[in-house]
Amino acid sequence: MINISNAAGNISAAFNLTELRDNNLHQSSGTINYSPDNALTVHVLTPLNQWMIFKGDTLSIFYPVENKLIKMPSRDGEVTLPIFKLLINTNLEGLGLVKAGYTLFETQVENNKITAVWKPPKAAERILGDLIATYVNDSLMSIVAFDPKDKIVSRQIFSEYIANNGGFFPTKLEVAKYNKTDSVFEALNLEDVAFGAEIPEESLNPVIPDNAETTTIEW
Amino acid sequence: MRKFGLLYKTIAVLTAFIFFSMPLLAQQIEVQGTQQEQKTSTAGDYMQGKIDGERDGRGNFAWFFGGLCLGLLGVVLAFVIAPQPSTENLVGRSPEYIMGYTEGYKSRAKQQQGYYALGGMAMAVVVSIIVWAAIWAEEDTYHY
Repeated sequence: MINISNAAGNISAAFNLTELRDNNLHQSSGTINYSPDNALTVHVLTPLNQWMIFKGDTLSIFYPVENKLIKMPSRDGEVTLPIFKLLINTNLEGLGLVKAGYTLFETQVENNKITAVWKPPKAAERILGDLIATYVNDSLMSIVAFDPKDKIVSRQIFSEYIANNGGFFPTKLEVAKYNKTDSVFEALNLEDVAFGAEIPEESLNPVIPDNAETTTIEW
Repeated sequence: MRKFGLLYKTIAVLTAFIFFSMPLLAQQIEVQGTQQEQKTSTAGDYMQGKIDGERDGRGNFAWFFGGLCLGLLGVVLAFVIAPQPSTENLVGRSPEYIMGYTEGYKSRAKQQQGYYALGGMAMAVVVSIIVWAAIWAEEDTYHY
């Protein structure tokens, strides 16, 4: 049984998010604050001043300089930042694989390395392929997703683990998504990670003025 | 001598005026340039967002089954209900980029899943025709 420690409690960190697609590099950095009971708040400082507040089923994006607010209510329930969710929840069951109907098909153990093969639900076999997760020393190292023709569609590599709560927490995640027409590479780096720290209210729920120019994007 | 004095004074005043007004003019030109640049970058951001959104917008193949099971209703729903993009693509992006991105994403995804649903409905129609033809042929054979 793989014993992965998921981050429980508040998390505060500085982040650096890099995205590369079509030879266009986009980098952003700032701070990220996560409270399991409250919200996930991302304060981007570079290249612009932007707050992203993931709370309940609504993502609010606020620009203090322009005093603009974009609200994006979700039809699918809770809103989240997937790349960050992957970092804080390296337990595959926790990521919703079991809930999505995936079943653990095979586990191979070789020294300190464990390879787990997950099969998609029968009903979705025409659109989804296998998923292979690799663990080294009980820490999730990579997830590779395939399409039904066994072609890699995405690869996630976890690294730079730090000790937390009797387990290890990855502070770096690199994601490669391979599409028919292009490929996207993303990397999320966390620094100065603080677990269980008290997060100031203004960092989780920044004050948005009533007179902010608000746009709601409906789906 | 007086004439020359007046001429010198006029030249000196003009030179001083030009000398002191140059930085102001330069500043004015710079401000106008920056404003122009901001306007261009705003329009550029929206267009870039739209291009990126259209590229990322992918409909869910599950709508094929929507068209198969629900027929025309499935097709209509597929063209109306848009899937949501991944929020990572919005981190560190300007409001204009986000507006363009979501717009491009929605239109492309709806179009694609609409085609999936149409495919599903077409398959349902073809299967129905085959089934009805088989039943009809069987009834016809039985009749003879």
